[in-house]
Amino acid sequence: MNWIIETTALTKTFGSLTALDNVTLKVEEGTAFGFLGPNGAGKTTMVRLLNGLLKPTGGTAKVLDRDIKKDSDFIRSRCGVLTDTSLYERLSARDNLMIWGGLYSIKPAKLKSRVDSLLSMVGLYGRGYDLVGSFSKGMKQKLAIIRALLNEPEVLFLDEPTAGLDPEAAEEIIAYLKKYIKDGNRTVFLCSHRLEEVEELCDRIAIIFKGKILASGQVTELAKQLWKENQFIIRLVDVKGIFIEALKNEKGLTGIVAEENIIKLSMVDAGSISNIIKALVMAGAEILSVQQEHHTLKDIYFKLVPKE
Amino acid sequence: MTNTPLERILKRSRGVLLRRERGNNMNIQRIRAIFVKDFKELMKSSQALVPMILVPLIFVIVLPVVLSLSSANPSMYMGGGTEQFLKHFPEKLFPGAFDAKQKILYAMFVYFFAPLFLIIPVLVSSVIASNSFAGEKERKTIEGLLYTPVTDKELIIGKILFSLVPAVIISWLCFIIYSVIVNVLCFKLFHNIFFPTPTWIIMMLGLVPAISFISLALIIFVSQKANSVWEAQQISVVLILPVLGLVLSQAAGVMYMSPAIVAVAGLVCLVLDVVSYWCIVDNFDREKIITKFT
Repeated sequence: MNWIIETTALTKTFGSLTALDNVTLKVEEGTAFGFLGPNGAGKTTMVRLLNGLLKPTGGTAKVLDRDIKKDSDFIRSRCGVLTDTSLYERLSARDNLMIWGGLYSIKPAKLKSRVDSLLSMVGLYGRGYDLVGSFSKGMKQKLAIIRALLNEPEVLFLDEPTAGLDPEAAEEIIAYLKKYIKDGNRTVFLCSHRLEEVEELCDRIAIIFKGKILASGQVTELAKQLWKENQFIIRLVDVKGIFIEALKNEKGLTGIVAEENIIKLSMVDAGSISNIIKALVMAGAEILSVQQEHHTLKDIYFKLVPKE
Repeated sequence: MTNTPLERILKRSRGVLLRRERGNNMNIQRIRAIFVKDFKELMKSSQALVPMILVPLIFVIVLPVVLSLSSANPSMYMGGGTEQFLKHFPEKLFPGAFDAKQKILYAMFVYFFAPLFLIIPVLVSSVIASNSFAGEKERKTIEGLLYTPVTDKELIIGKILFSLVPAVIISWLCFIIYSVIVNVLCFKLFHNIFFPTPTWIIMMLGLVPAISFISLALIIFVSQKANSVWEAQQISVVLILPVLGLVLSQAAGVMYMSPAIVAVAGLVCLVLDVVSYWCIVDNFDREKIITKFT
C-alpha cells in the first residue's frame, strides 16, 4: 500500500501542554481520511505539523514520502490547505486567486483558465471582480475552498470545509471532492465536526481527544470492535407474552427487550435472525418489519469521546 | 561548554550562510506575487496611505512655503533668538557673503530640513512594513501565506523589497519636489540655483536607502512577535529619536550635517542593515509567528 501520510509517535508540546501525544497513523494514497475530535483536541496542530509550520517535539512524520522537518517547502508546494484563516478582504476574488497561483508558481495562462473554471464551479464567476470583503460567509468559504484547490494539490488538508455553507452548497462541495479524489487519485485529510459528511466522504477515520488517538480505521470495522453484538428491531402489531416465551427458547439470543409493539433483540451471529423470525411467526406474531441497527460514525464518536 | 560572545556570533553567521547555500534557488514569481499582493492591499488602506502622503506634503510643500512667506517679515530674522542662533552658526557653512535674511533661509532649507528628510523614509518604510507583516497577522491572513510553498527567504525578501522600494522612491520624489520649490521660492534672494548641496545628494543616495532598510528591518523583526500594526510601529521611535537628536544638535550649534558626517552615518547604517538582515533571516520562525498569533 502506498502511504501518502505516515506519522510515528508524533508528539508536539507547547510548554506544559501536550497538543499531540504519540500519534501514529497512516493515510493511503487516493483516499479521504477523516480526522475527528472536539475543539482543542489537536486537529489543527496536526495539520500545521504535517505542513511544516510547527516542528515536532518528538516522533517522525512523512508526507508524500518526504520528511516534514527537512522538506517542508516541497511538501507545501504539493499540498493545499484550507483552515479558518482569512482571505485578503481588500482584494477582489480574482486577485486573491491570481496572487495565490503566483505563490504556487502556476504559469499565468494556465492560472487564468484554472481561476475561471474554479470560480464557475462554485458559482462565483460573476462576482470575480468584487471585493472579498463584500462577500457573505458562505461565498468566502467557497472562495477559500477553491483557493486550496488552485494548485491541484496531491494532498488536500481541509479544516471544516463546509462550515457556513448551506446544505446544497455543502453537498456540491462534497460531491466535487469525491470526484477530485477518484479522478486524480488525490488524497484528502478532512478535519470536520459534521460527522455525516465525514462518513459519506471518508474511507478511514481517526478520532483524537486531548492529543491522543482514541481509535482509527474504517467506520464499519470500528463499529464491529465497539459493539460485538448485532441488534435487530422487530415491529409487531402487538407484543404478547407467548412471543417472548418463544424467543427465550431460541439459541444465540443474548438480549430481549420488549416495548409496546417493538421487540429489540441482541445476538452475536446475525444469521440467527431467520430462525427467530420463524419462531415468532409460529407463535402467532404478526410482523410488520425487521430492521438491523447500524452503528453510525456519530454513535462511534459519542461512545469514544468522553463528555466534558 | 560555554562559548564566548564572539564565538556565538561566528557560529550564528555560519548557520545563516549554510542556510543560504541550501536555499539559494529563489523563485522570482513568488516574490513578485507577495509584492503585488502587498501593493494592492496598501492602495486600499487609507490608514496607511494618509500618514504616508500627509507628512511628506507638510515637509516638502507646506513648511517651505510658510517659511519663505514669513521671511518677508523682518521680525523673523531680526528677533533675539534668531540673531543668537545665527551668531553660533559657522560662517564657513554659507557659500558666500549673505545678509541676515539669506542666512536664515539658507540655514533652514539646507541644514534644518535635512533631518526631516530622514523622517520621511523611516515613516514610509515603517508604515508599509508594519501593515505588510504585523497587518497580515492582525487580519489573520499570515497563516494561509505560511501554508504556501513560499520559502522563509522569499517571504522576507518580498516584504523587504515591498517596504524599501516605495520608501526610497517617495523620499527621492519628495527631494526632487523640495529642490524645485526651495529654488523657486528663493530665486529672487539668491539669484542662482543653490540647492541641492553635496550633503543632500549623499544623504539621498546613501543614507536614505540605508536608514529605510534599518527601519523596515526593525519592524519585520518585532512584527514576528507583535499582534497589531500599532504595536509593531512603536519600534520606529528607536530611529526617530536619533533623527530628532540631529535636529536638536544643529539648533544648539553642537554639530552640523556635512558630507563627511552624512557619509559616516550612511556607513554605520549600512553595517546595521547587514546585521539586521542576518538577524531577521536567522530568527525567522514560522512556529513563533503562528503560536504567538493564536
